[in-house]
Amino acid sequence: MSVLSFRLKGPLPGRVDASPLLPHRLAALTVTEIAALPLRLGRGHVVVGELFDLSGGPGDTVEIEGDGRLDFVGAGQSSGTIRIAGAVGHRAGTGMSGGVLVVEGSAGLAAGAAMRGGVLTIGGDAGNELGGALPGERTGMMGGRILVRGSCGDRVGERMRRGLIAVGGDTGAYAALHMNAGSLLIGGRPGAATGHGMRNGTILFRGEIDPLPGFADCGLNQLPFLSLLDNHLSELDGVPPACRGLTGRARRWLGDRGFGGRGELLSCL
Amino acid sequence: MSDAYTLLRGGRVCDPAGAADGTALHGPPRDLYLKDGHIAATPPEGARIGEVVDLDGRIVMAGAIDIHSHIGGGKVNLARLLLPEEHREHGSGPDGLRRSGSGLFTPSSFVTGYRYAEMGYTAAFEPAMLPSNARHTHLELADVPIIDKGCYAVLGNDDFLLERLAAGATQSEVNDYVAWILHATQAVGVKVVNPGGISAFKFNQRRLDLDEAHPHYGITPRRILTTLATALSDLGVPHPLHVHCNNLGIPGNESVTRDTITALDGLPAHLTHLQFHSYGTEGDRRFSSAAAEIAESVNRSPNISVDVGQIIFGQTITASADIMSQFRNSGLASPRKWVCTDIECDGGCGLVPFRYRDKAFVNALQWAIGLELFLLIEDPWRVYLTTDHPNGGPFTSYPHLIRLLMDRSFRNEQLARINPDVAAHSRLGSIDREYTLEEIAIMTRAGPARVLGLRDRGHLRPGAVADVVVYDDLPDREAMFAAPALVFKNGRLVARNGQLTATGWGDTIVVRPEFDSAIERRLKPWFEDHQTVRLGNFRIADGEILDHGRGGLSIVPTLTASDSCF
Amino acid sequence: MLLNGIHIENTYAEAFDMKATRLIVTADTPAWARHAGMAATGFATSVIACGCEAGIERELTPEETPDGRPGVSLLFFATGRSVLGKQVETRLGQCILTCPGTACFSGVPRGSKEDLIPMGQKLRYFGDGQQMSKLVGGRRYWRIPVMDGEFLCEESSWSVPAVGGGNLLILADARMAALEAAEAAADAMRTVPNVVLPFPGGVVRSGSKVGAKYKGMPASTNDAYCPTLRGLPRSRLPAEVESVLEIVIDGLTAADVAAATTAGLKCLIERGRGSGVWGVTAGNYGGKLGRHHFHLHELLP
Repeated sequence: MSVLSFRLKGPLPGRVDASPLLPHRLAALTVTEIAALPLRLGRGHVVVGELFDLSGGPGDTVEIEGDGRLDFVGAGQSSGTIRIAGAVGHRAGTGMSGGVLVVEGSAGLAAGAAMRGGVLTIGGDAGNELGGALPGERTGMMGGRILVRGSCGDRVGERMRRGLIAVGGDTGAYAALHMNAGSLLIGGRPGAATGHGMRNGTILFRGEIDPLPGFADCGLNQLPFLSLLDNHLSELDGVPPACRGLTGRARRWLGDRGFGGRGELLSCL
Repeated sequence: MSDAYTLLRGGRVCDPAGAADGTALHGPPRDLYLKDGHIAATPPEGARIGEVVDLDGRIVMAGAIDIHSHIGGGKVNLARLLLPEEHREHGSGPDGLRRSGSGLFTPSSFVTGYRYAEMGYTAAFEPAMLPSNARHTHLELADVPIIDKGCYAVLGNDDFLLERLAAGATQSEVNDYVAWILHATQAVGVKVVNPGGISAFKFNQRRLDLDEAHPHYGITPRRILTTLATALSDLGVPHPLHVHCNNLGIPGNESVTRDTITALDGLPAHLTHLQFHSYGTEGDRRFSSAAAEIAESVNRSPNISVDVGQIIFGQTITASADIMSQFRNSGLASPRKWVCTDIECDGGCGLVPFRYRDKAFVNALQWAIGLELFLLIEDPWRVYLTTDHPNGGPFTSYPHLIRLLMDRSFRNEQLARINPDVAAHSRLGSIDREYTLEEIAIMTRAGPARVLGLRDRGHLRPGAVADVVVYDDLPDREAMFAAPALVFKNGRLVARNGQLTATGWGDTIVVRPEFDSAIERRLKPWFEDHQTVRLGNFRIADGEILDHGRGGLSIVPTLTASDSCF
Repeated sequence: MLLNGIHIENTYAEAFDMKATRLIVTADTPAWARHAGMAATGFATSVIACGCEAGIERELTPEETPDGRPGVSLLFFATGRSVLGKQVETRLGQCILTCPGTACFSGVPRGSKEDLIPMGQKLRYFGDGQQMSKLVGGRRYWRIPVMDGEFLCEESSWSVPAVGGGNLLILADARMAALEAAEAAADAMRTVPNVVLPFPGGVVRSGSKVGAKYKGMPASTNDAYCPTLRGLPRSRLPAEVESVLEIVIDGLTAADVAAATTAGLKCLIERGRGSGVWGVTAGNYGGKLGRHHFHLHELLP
């Protein structure tokens, strides 16, 4: 299997839209053609060859040297693997429907927003709206998996409908805002207003929380489903260890009842 | 000022409102001179001709005028916010000439201007400006390039008027209020939407007939309607009351529409998006076409003009101040999201995205009803081409609609494709009428200009604004009207073969009837007590429109006793 | 043929195509998983009047189950997918949902939509709106609140092709000899994966033939093998045989049924003539009704 590598010639001069660099699109091109691909840079364009040194051959896997100003990496990815050495900018993996996107560093805003399938792994931290919804959309993430080793910003999993998000560290405010379904695992501390407006779905975390008044405390419970989930997590690569080891015992809150919701907050033991 | 003329040589001029040779389409080609942004009389011998454009017998018309198109203001903006996917999928970047923009059926302001100009439209009128939203509307229209624009202020559900009517206000007090609103909001007309119904909705009424008393104010839609129509007539505002009748979209509403025409009792009025108000209750599905009855009623009432609000199959969004009907239809939203909101107790606003499907009986019959109205109303001077953009479909579907009207075999082909029950329930297939180019010119130019009182637009007589459109005489009328060969706005070429070549700014068209400013003594405390802004701040100054020369104001003269009313 | 003193008749068992599914039932203890499994597969001896044939395939250790608890695996067989679905639905609802601490999962690979056997998909309505669904690893599970916590149930299972009606007839000198032999054979056959023996204890004494003299009876007693009718011409029993017992085998494939047949034959032959078994034969309908024929002589150990 051939790997195509993009090495930065220097720091990016501005924000670059890297969404054309998808494995299945590049696989059909020669290295020369790829070097001539235009990328959006600010309001203008720049060709790939001006920003990156290319090596290897087009195939199933793309490796890119990361930069905090490299936006839309893996946006719309449907197959193959993209591996980023370093950080990425905003909207990494937006609308992704398949394949694997591995960011070894941190990600900016809205990583994995409106994701439909595939796996997004982030080694560092993620910004706001991780696995969130595109502006104005009724649904956010609709499938796939997002695994973050570090922490994330506000509104992770906004309007999530399906899929799994596991954050090893802390989450910001309004985690799972208006969540419709799906699972959000928080290894660290959940932020303020976690689960606001959630209608269904599950938020799992450890330790104490002072939930919003819209959540009804249902006390401690033994939930066989948690063992099932833990078994499943044990079969996956890259799940933050802090999200593992669910015993099946959890304190459960139901809500957000202010929105007619019956989602759950689970403080796991 | 330049002394050079632009000569458009040898075009076949189709100018129904022009001089006696309005039918010159079949006569010899004619030359047209433009100078300083206006049509000029044939210049004297030896005058300097700056540029000559050979038209080689192409068809020449005045710039088209869209009398009813929701292109700006609070509700259009809410529609854009409601459907971000439309804007994500249909975006365009700046290309040196155009600015960036997006949207298909709720295009952003710049795109709106470009698309209209590319289709040969040089003016469009935003029909539902709530007075409390007037500033927003004008600011947004200020960003619609090239075309002229104007707004109708929405009255008839505002608490001030309803309360004053309930308290027994005199006609002259109402006249002063209406005139004050026209001045303060820089409007060119007044629209009444579901008279009294929007307000009644807020008192939990879900339907209001013409003679049903408002649950709180105790006055009837008939009273509101006739009072406002009288006010505009008394004030000499050229565009008569723009009426969105009660019970929009309800099967059987044709009776309230005909009652409305009767209630107006000879007062001039413009009934808008008539298609949505021409439904009967016959047949198995209790939904039928009443286009023939409505057309008959319109034909008999020379005081009435109409626009159709034709529906076009496909995705769009319905945007209306008629919160009563929009709330009723909210369950039909596709995609499944909608907004209904009050706007500062001044009116309402409802947005329901909708996909008109040609295989659905109701939608297909709506389509047929619209076409029946076009074809059964005999006088093209009184029926205007609209889709009630974006309610029936986007304004970009006008060329398709023109072909439906001009080409009977094309029309019948389309009829054969839609829900088969419709052909059985509609007389459309048996109507032979085909619109002529002159009739299209009337319904898209001369007619709207006349009913709006635009004396210098909609025709090509010397002195008119040089809004000129040149078409290739193609047998496919859709292709012909979609991409005119040349479009001149104020004498400048702005589009060629349907592609923008230059941009600029049009005028805002307003009307300024005289009134007794004593009305402000009543209004001032009302604003202090009930509104979010004070009266002084509510009024839109000319400078806000003119914006240091970027915008222009064009004032429509009021009618005097000597003017002929139709 | 005579093996270790036992007559092995040169005949075959005739078996039919069926549809089957496997459910995994777990509980807090093996005993409660067994309770649920026994109830769910009870009254499921023959499709003639039970709707389905079912049994406990085997017990599962915690490591073998999806939720890490002890469990049992159950096999259900029926003549078609829709009747199988109905049977699973009622048995799941009445016997597994009701049993303390249980959870229920599909034990077959994901199949196509036409093969769907609804589980939680139907049962979830018991949750009266308080049920929750979770998608884990591509499979959907329903969580239904019940009085001891939560009933966890996979959304659906799938039917797979199967073979039902494999059998052995054990001919013995005396009733106790027949019973002991049948018990031993059934124990041996149960160790074969993918099969169940649907009758009580795996053994049936009322073997049947097709048809009857009475109208409306689709089947009636297998009089050719009834010792009390030994003297009649149609009897197939030698004089010394006083008792006959049958073991019916349902399996997921013909190979599974064959393996179970072999295991049974092996056990009986090893026990020898001294155990009181005179011979072994099999039931068939002349080969016209079932597609699968299990010839005893071909399946000898």
